[in-house]
Amino acid sequence: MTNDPQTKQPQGLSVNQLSCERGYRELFNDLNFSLSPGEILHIKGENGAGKTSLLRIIAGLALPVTGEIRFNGYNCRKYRSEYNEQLAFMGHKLGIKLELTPVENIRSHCDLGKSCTRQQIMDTLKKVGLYGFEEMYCNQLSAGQKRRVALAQILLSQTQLWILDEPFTSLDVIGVELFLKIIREHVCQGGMVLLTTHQEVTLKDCTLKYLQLPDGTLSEPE
Amino acid sequence: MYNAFFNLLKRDLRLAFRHKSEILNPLFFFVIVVTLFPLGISPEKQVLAEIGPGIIWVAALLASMLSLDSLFRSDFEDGTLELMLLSEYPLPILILAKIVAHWLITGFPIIIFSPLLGTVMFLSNEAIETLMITLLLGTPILSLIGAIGMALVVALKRGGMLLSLLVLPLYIPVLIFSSNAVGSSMAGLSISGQLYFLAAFLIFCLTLAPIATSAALRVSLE
Repeated sequence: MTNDPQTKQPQGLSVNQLSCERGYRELFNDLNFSLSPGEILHIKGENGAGKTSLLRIIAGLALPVTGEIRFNGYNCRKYRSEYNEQLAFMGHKLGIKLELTPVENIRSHCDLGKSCTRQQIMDTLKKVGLYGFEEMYCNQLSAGQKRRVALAQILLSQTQLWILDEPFTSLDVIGVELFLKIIREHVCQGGMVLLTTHQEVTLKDCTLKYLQLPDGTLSEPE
Repeated sequence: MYNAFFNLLKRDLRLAFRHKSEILNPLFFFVIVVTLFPLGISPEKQVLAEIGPGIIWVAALLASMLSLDSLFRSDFEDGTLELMLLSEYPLPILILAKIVAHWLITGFPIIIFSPLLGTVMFLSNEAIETLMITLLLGTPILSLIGAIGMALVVALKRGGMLLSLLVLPLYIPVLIFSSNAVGSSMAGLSISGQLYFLAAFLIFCLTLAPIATSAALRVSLE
């Protein structure tokens, strides 16, 4: 074959004509946007506008009524395993076992994707500010500390696309700053971030885009 | 992929050992239900030997069904199930690891304790041997079929009743052939037919149940 898909296909995520219903109520219709490496998309909208539904559809956890999602040119539903290899997801439920320690949690998360060494886990825990808590059971940690464990999992996933649903919930001011710093580092290395939050996100030298739900208008910060 | 399988298996076993009730409750349930029958019906040797195989098998069936909740419920509630769905590894392989862990936690102890209960029920030595073989072939089938049912009801708040309606009818072939095999070996008849059927059914479930369970989970989590 002469046409190499690698060179021809657009890089990044593209969402085409997506629409979603929830209990006979249309959440959004004909949603189109794309996200290239090095960009952050902040999805805005009132409560119930469909932010979480949109993120779950993009992650492949839910089905849209119509439309398709392409990643680096291929259909995500068809090439689920290749897509999942590049995807890290943080939902409302963090995916942390309370009966396991942070190290065990991160390890079992890494076992589902790319493997990591104990040293990497310890370094990441130190980076997210959980040094000294690595051998405690997660049910003894606070909500913000659990969020930090989930952040460490995202960091160690070594994926390109991060989908974060309300990532700053229950984090303190320093935690939010740390998270934003980590997001910026990720984006600067060619990563992509999709996130919803009710806080204002300010990031220097990053391409930040806004998507307003339910009408789906794209805008950029002034 | 094998690493993902074994690490998930190890994680589930570790969780079970931190939550010992998960192992002990089904076992105690099994032992107590079986010991209730001599008290309720009659302690006569003749009567008990007659109904013993059926009772032990019905108790094993119920114990296995009651323990199904632990298979996906906690993973669903804390979000690890979502992360499993987003893993780059094939979901049926991960599901199979969870089912194997569930069988080791709930089915295997029942097999270990069955000779004791066989003796309580005045079964002959050959019948006890057959009972153990049928349990060895049958209890994995219970876990495999149960996983499909549990995957369908995991997102429901009160799925317990529905689960028994879904799963118990499918357990019937296992019950018929197993208790018949034990009864036949008491009477000194050949049991190879029943064992072949159970083995075939086990292989059938082992190949197809993880796939059906993954499909059911994807629907449930939508």
